[in-house]
Amino acid sequence: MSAAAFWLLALIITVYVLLDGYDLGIATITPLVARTPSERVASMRAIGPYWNANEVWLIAGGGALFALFPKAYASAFSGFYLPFIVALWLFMVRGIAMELRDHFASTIWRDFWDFSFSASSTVLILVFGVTIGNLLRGVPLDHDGYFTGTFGFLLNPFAGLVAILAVLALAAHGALFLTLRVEGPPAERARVLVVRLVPAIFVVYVVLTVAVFSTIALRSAPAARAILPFLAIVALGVELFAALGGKPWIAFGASCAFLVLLLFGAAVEMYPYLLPGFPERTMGLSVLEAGASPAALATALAVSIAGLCIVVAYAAYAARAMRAKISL
Amino acid sequence: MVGLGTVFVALMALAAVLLWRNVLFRTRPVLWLLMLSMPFPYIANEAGWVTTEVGRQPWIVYGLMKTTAGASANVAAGETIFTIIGFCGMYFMLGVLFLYLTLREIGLGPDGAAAHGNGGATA
Repeated sequence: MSAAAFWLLALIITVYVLLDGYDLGIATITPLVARTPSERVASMRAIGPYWNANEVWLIAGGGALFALFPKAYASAFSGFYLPFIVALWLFMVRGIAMELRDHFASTIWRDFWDFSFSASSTVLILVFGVTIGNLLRGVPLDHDGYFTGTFGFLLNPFAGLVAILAVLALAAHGALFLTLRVEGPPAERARVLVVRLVPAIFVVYVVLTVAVFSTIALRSAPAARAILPFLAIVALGVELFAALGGKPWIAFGASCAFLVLLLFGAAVEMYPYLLPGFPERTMGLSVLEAGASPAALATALAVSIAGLCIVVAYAAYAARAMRAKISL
Repeated sequence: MVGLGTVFVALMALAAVLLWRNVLFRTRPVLWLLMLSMPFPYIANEAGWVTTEVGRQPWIVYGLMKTTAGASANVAAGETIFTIIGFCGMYFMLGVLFLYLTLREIGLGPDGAAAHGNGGATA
């Protein structure tokens, strides 16, 4: 039961990254691909019907963590207090920028909101990257499973590398989504940007994989260690050639596959720990220690799955209703 | 909160009767009352929050866990102060923007808002 709960949580986070990843990525690349005011409006409208619903998956992740693994929730939310509050502020700035932008006629205000939108989203990706990097590397925990490190401990080179990979990969993900949703020059610029980004992603991914293999005591099966990086590099290759050949749907699918492989690889290395310890990962908080009682787990699993079905139905409806491309 | 709620019910009932009689938009005193009562829903909301949060003390989960037992041991006081200042700044900025936009909509009036094209009548 606790294993099912772990993988449900991993699934929710993966879906969140796939969906809100393109929202954040589009915000990151908007200054690069949208040059005129109407292009910037089109870029924001590309995610307009979706971004709010996509963030539901993050809330679902927090809710599922609370219901399924209360001890891990308590440890993470008090241990990562400052980064989580900063992430919350960034989410607020991003939402405010999108909602208020059109209420001001002055170009100075619009430039300010556009800058806030792109900057807050990019920093959010960095914060998420640092978080995942630290989850993979492990964090110092005391006997009760509480984080004992400092804010400075979280800012290490390994986490920085994961954060850079996250920004590059989601920028490409967002750029591909933009080519699917918008017509005209921004879509073409976004396609060219993807072609330039993928080699950079490849380099950072290889460096990161070497860093993972050389610094982290790996727990996964040797076969997984060989297959996952291979598949990830294949996905990057497909993304590059599909973007070059003007096949945006295939490129976007490959980008999704790459992100899924990254997150699945991280989850495989973490299991059975929700919060691996540091320097010994065995001193971490495992699914068994952090799990709720079996009855609570069963209830929470059933309720989460039923709730997520409603979210999926809504998202499918929204995608269908808004499938027309945005013209400038 | 309860008092204000009763006032809202009375005021809305009065306005509904006038609207039904088709004289609401010509009854200036009632329109003034409706506009001036704009801050009160916010005050009622906040009063409701204060009632639940203060009324539950010293429990954080009523009957199960005391607030002192629920405090994070590894969050420093300085971090808490920093985030409280940050939230105050964020909401102060939001409050100023809200007042500016609301007053602008009121200043435009029903015709101006419709001409302005951002749905002032329905928002």
